[in-house]
Amino acid sequence: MSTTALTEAVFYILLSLDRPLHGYGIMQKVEHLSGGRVRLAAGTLYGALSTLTERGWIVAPGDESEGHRKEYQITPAGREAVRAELRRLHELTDNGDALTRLW
Amino acid sequence: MARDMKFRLHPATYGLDPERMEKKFNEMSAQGWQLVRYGAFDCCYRRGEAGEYEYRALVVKDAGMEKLEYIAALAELGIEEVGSRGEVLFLRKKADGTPFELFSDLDSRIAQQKKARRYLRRGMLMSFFWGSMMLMNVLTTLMNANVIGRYAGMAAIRFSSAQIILLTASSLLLLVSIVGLVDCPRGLCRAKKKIAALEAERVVQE
Repeated sequence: MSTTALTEAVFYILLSLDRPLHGYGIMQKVEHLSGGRVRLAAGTLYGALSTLTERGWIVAPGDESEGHRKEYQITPAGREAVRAELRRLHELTDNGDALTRLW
Repeated sequence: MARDMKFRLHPATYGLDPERMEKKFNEMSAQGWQLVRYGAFDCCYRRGEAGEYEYRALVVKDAGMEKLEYIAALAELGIEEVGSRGEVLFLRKKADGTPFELFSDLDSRIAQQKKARRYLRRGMLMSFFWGSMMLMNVLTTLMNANVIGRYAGMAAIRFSSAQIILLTASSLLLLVSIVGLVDCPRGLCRAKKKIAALEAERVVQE
């Protein structure tokens, strides 16, 4: 299980890949999911996609021939990374809530 | 009629400062000259509207498949490649009022600066190595010509045609290496400062 904190970009990319999406689709979905707050730039997106593919957290299934746009999808390992990150975020918010309630 | 194309030679160095090139292309764009091709030895500009395109230099991990995949992926987003030099890609996007940013978070900005630092370090080493070799070549050729001239009893130095070719080629490569030796350290200093500033920011925010 990963204990490393995910960046916001990586977290949202993984969340957006429940169904196969290409680069531009990921950008739009992330912007939509975050209510327009997170806007991924091209270099950030493709750097993250390359790293996530190397880690086996996402795959690029399907036909890449005939100039089809490359689509990506989350893997079971990617889902586990998202769950681990959610546990970490819950711990942060629980501890934060418990202590700030006393302020 | 005013010329619509402009060609500018550039030294094909072993390493160049990507940010300096990016700045130069954007300055040309502001004057109405749009870079359309970055070749091995020259840049080709086309007359267009001032500020029609914005240019960015991007350093990728390797100059092979990753570069090609990157170019294809960026094309989907309306970002064109106008040329490359090793792992450095020169990209442009039509100005549409939104800033042309390639990186939107600190981690990817740091990663990009680290790639630039690695590229510039290698460029500096290559420039130093080839510069030294070419300097030795030039000096050896000059010494040989002098020695041969003296043996022949001639007062002036005489070069054979082979020596002239060798001397010209070596001198050109020496000049190219000197450009790299001047350009790379400046870029390297800037990249180091940027990495330090970004990492300091990274300590407190994602």
